[in-house]
Amino acid sequence: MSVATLLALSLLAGGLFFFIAGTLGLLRFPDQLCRIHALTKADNVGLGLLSGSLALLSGSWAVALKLLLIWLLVMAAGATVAQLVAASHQAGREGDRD
Amino acid sequence: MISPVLLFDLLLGLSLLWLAWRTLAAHTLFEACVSFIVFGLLMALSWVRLDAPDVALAEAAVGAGLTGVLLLGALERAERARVEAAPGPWWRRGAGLSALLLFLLLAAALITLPPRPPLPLQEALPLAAAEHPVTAVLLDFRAWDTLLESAVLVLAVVAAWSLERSVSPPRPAPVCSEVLRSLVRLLLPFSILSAGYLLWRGGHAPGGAFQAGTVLAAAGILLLLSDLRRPFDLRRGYWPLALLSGLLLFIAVALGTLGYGGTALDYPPGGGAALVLLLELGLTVTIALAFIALFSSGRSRGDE
Amino acid sequence: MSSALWFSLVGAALVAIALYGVFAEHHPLRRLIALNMMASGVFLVLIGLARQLPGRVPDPVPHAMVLTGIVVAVSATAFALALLRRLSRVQQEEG
Repeated sequence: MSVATLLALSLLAGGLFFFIAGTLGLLRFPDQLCRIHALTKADNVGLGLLSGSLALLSGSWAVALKLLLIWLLVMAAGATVAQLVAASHQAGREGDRD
Repeated sequence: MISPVLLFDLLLGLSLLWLAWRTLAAHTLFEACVSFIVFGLLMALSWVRLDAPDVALAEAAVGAGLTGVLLLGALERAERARVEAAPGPWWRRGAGLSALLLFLLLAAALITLPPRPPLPLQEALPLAAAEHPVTAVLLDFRAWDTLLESAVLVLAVVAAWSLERSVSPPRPAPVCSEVLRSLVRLLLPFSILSAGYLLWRGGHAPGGAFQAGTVLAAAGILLLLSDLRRPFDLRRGYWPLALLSGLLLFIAVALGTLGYGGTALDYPPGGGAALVLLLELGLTVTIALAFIALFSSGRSRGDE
Repeated sequence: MSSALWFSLVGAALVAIALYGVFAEHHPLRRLIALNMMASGVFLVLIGLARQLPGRVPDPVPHAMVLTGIVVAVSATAFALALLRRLSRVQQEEG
């Protein structure tokens, strides 16, 4: 096994760890804001590690560039959606108080 | 020994079934809609596993994305709708029994299906107007189907419009923040670029008018939700003509080829690739505008 | 068992589950979701059969049919939702 494959596999394992941690957070954390916090942070890192690993395994610069672009887009979309979910949660709570 | 790949497919199939059950048994309508969206995303994964990347792209964008948006948009009104009484236990038992019977019959048919011979289509593919087999089927061999499909799409828009009482532009999202606006500003040029890329790519690889149209529609829907642009009404001005452009172009090409060679949608030799690209361009515009129209007729401002 | 056969069987089961949903649910929106699910099941059966051809290339005809089917299904869903909105408005006006 070459060094690149070994590195790719360890990145893959690291990515999976972050995804599992994020999912555990989603399932076990007490309230909505904590869950979003766990999910977005862990999944962004997890997806980055997975993309890095797949880019190494593909061995092509074009594929690596596309994977990088996908990671950046998912991070931007994920951050926005997390903010929107949190904002609607906040709006719902303020609505309850009224 | 089960191979890891088959194990993955088994798990994927089982999660599809579990999600289907969760969707139907969900306590609230919101839960049912969200489960259905997740179900659609797992379906997209299954399409990839079955070597159907075109279908996977369409499913993720249309099946999960757009259907989900439409269902969630209808939620508020649907929750207030008066519903008929729940069916009795015997009705449920009968439904369950007939569903089980249907499954057994279908499964028996699928398992005992004799192996099929290779397709005659494979020999015809080099003659097609597009390199990619799915595009060749959609816009050359079975172009009639695609013509009628764009007619169905336009018809759905006309029907949805005629059921609306008031003519008013759609409402923005209830929580519409500066973060959403800056994301939309950032994504808009990318959306147009990737729609163009998908359209061009459709000739020789997975992609094409369906996927490109949906990406454009998503950009338009985000634009309306983020309230960035003055809301536009697709029923006014030149918009209806643009909405019809794909269908009209298709009919024009059908009539033209009928006059030229005697058979409708039988492209002249050498001109097929250009005509297919032209049709795909028109279809992209029609699909994008029709989806935006179907979305906005569900959230008109006069609805409240 | 091949993956293609397995996915076809899952598709058949989805059709059956969704059929039960169409009959046993009583809210129109839930019925609509069940109908969409039935469409997904039919598509899965079709694409599974397309994959069972000898050789490595799947049959492109069912792929094209399913692509068309997805767009027609979403058109029908949007139309049904428009009908549902109209229905709830009429009910509201009746009081």
